Amino acid sequence: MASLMRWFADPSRNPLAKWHLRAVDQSLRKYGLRYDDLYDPQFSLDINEALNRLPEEVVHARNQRLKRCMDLSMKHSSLPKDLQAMQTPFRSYVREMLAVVQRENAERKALGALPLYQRTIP
Amino acid sequence: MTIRNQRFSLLKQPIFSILNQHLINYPTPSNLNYWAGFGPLAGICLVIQIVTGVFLAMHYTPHVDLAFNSVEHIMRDVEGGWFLRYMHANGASMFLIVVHFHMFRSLYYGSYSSPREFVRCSGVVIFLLMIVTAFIGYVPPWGQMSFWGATVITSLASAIPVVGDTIVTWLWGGFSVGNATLNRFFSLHYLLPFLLVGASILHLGALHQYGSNNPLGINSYTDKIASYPYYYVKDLVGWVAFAIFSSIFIFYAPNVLGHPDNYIPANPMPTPPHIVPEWYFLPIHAILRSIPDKAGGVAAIAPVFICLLALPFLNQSMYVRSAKFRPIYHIIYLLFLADRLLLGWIGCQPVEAPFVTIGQISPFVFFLFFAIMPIPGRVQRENPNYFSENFAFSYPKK
Repeated sequence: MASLMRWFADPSRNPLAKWHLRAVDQSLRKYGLRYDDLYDPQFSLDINEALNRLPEEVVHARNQRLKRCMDLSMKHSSLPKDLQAMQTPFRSYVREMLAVVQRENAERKALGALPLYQRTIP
Repeated sequence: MTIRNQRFSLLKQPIFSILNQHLINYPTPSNLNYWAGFGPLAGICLVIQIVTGVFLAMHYTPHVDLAFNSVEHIMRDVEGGWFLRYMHANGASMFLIVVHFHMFRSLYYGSYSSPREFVRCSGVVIFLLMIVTAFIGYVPPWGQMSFWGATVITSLASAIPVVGDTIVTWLWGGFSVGNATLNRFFSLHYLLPFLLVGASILHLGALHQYGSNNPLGINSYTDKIASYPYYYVKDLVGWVAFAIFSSIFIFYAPNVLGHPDNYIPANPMPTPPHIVPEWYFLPIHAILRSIPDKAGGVAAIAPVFICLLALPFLNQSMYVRSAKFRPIYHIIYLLFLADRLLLGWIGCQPVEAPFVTIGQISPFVFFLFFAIMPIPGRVQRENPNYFSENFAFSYPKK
């Protein structure tokens, strides 16, 4: 099953994956976003924790991209083509830290420790 | 604090300050589009249904010998009665159209996903209450479709093993649909909309816990604006468009969404040749009919609502919400929408070839949509480097 999943998501072997990556790339460039900008701290407290551990300038740059994107979306427009060509949509800045946070939480859980943070209901 | 220093602003007083906080100065994402207007519009529809319903109830008589004629009395003799009746009957259809747009909007932009699970669940409860209210509200006119529709659908409860027949007798208040049934259905039809109001307030409260989603599915804390006046004006455009659309039905084609057999007084002797529910029940009716066994058909309805309730919990690993950045999901969503429309069409077709085959494939596709929801998250977990800079085509050659 795992090898099937890996084949499915390999753009060099699966044309669907290649098309999918190009489509996501175009959508992100249109709004001047990186893929990691789509990660919402409200979706998961792990993302919130990961963002809190990042350097301040990285988080500020993220906020500026988000604000620019919200403005473009409100005006139903997109970035100029020359700016779109300069974007780096798949440059990651939060996923590695998120993986670290998730590993730490899994370790805490395995050791029987209380979680550092918990979601409130609702 | 002296009287001179006190601020007499109404919006700062208790209760009004809550209204100000949640309905006037509420921080809303700046990039909401017109699809976001269907939620408030659904609230407007509820108010319209309650107001018209209360005025109709002043002239209606819930008795088997008088109900049909009292509706005709409202239509012919009561000043503006025809308008009230048509507004209420077509208002129910409009309410369900608006709610369907609202649900499909939430499905496309991923508004159902974390942290808004409770908003989704309360919304499904509202949808269920609406369906029940609409079903029992179709009985008071006491036409042929009212009587036989009530008979057929309440008889489905007899599919429950052991206690089924007892439940049906308890529902009817007798050994067939009769005066007792009409009275209790009218009473419940008056009560349930007020439960709907409470559920709607809960729905809004759950939404305001984290704030609205937006078409991009991203966190919108960087750019929020006050709800009033911006979104009131934007929603007003939608309300006017809705008023024009529903006026076309109320004034020019008030009976096109109904069934002509409901203008025949209810008669337990002759069974109508085609007992068809109202258009908004046709997809569920199609799913019910897709399984030849009666108990199986009844049992197939519950998974529909279970899937709707479980949706936020099926996709926990997929951090991206909106279909704007999920091109494969965009295509699957369009197929799901087409399947839903197909189910509605199949629901009013006779049970013969080729409708039987189509009617069995369509529910399968409907449930398949929910079954494949966990797959994207799983694929992403197996391939953490998928959205990374490994792929040379992403960047232009200098």
